[in-house]
Amino acid sequence: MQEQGGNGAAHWASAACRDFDAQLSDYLEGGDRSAVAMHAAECAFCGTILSDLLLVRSASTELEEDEPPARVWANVRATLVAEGLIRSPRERRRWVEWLLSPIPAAAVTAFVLLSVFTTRNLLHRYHQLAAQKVVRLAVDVDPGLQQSVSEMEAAFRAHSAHLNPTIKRAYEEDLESLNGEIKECHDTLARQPDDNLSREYLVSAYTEKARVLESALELGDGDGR
Amino acid sequence: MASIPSRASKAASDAELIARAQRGDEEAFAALFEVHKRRVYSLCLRMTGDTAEAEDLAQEAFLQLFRKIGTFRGESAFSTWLHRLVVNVVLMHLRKKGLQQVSLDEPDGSQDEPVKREYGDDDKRLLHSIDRITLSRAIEGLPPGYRAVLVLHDVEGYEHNEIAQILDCSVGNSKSQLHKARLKLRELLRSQRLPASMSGS
Amino acid sequence: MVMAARNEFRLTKYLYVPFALLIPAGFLMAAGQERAEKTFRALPNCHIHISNPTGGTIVVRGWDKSEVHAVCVTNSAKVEVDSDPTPDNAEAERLEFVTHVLDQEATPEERTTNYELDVPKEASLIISSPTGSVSVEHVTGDDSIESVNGAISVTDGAGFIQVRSLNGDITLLRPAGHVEATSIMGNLTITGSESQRINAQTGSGKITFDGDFLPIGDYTLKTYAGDINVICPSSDSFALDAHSLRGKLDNQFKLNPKPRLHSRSLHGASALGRINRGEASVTISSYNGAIHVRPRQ
Repeated sequence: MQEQGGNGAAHWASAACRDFDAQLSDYLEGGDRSAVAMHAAECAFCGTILSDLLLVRSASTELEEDEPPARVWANVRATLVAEGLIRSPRERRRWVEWLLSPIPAAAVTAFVLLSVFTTRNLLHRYHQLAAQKVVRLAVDVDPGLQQSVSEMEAAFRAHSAHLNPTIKRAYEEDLESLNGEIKECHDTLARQPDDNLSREYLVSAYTEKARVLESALELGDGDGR
Repeated sequence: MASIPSRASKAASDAELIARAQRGDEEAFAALFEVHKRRVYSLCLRMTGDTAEAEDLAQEAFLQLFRKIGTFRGESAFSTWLHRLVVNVVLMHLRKKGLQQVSLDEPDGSQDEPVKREYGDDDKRLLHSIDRITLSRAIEGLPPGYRAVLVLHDVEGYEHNEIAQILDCSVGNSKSQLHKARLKLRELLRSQRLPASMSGS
Repeated sequence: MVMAARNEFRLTKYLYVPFALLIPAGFLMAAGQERAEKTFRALPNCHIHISNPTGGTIVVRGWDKSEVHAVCVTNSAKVEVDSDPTPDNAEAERLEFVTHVLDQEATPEERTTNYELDVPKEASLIISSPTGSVSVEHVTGDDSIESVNGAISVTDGAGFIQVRSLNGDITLLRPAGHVEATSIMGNLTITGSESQRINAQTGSGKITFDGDFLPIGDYTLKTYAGDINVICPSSDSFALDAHSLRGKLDNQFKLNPKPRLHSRSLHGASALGRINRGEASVTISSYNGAIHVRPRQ
């Protein structure tokens, strides 16, 4: 039975409507209740209820996140400092230790010192940029990150001769592979600027390239010869 | 192949950041905060419906997280761990406030409402989209027990077995409360009659 | 050869010399090879660091004893191994093994050093071996293993397993911990997984996953060009989010809609939905590679 009425009148639920009510929750949870959909198609009231609930569910699912005010971090940071959980800024102990150790040859010293300082700055910049990139989802690659990677690559080329030839070749193959990924993603984005997946892979390739270069520069400084 | 914008890369980034934060690295704390702040704050906001409370709770959740970060050994996903922690902080707060409705095993009888079946202007279907402000306001208007289960399931994507664990209730109870919460939310949305978000069929 | 002044390996070496004189050297090892062996008392959950930048294999096995038994074989006297237990007068909390080159003129072959360690099974490991392979078995503490060219295999790992080999293959057999496995060109193979969290990524290598997706687990498998093959029991309960931009996507599971899943791109092929109750989260993506997801027969 399905009653129709004017504005403000109650809708008398038929047996089918009551079954619909009873099964609606399961249906919305993904249960196999084909009777629910069939009844919703026949009954205007129940159809409206189902349509509304599906909309409510999907709207809730897609609800965007809110940005907290900046004072939240300021308060958290102040407490962490007060409690001693945040220590002095990160230092690359390895570099310091290396600099304090005896250096076998003056020429190598001068060269590596230059590399070390260059590398430190580049790595520091990379880490800063990477930390920023973490929260900037699916956006274009930061020009600063690209430039930093490019400078790290130049530093790698400059002292890769000191690496074990096998390792040097491996790094070069990795960089070639990542450069291929970067080129392909750029080309795709030029044709399909809306392709977020290509953008995601592009940022990914740059980030990975920075990591590979970081690893190569660290290895070149101490090991792998 | 770490990808920063993807969830995969976020996992990788989390692992690195956690290791650095465990050594007291400020940059790592800041980066972890940046990565997770929106989700944490939004969860607090949706669960409480109050921005001031949400700020305090987000702050408290992050402090608890950072104090405990040394104990994180990676047995569970970091985001899962954090999320559980936030939910616990919020629930503890709500319970302290005396909002017993949060306990779903003691449902408030007044919340049991049948599906509304009345004709009239109110029976027009909701439009195909609901703007976020309207929806957020309507969620804020839900009773705390309903709001908790709806936020956890529909907004945050928890499954009923997880909600049952978090809220210390049965799976069946979680399901039935969710259904009632959706019906109540529908009713609230219809009663707001905002032209930007609804129209007649 | 081998073992630094900071430990007693040198003593072992001298004990070994007269023994070696009695046996043709080549009978045991190649000419020029030197071997040192030492047992350290160690805490059950000790931390062990191995740095072997000069190449060679590293094999680490977990055992029930609170001891670390180390055997190091160098290909020449031009390299040595330092071992450094901390503290050095009690059960070690931390043990460090580092290969050093004594003669910079040594060839790569002469620098090669192989390690074989038995360690407490709850020990944690940090291993760096740019060119040599690393094999770890039955160690349930955390593992952090890095290589450039070497293959890495971890069997029955149960802690936080962090492995990275840029060009080498990575094989994880029955992992039960949290896995982070990354490579650029190597293949990643995960078999008999009981892990609740896996993040496996490679560029041009393939990924093979054969195991269980545990409820409330979180799994991410990602390649750029390599194929991804996933096999799991048909009873597993997970939400699948699979996407390949240019490759083929073959999903043999029946999918139910999952409200929170949305395709990450309008391009390419994707499979989104719940399998059974959709409890675990499984994200699979490739740019150019094919993706196959199928139930175990």
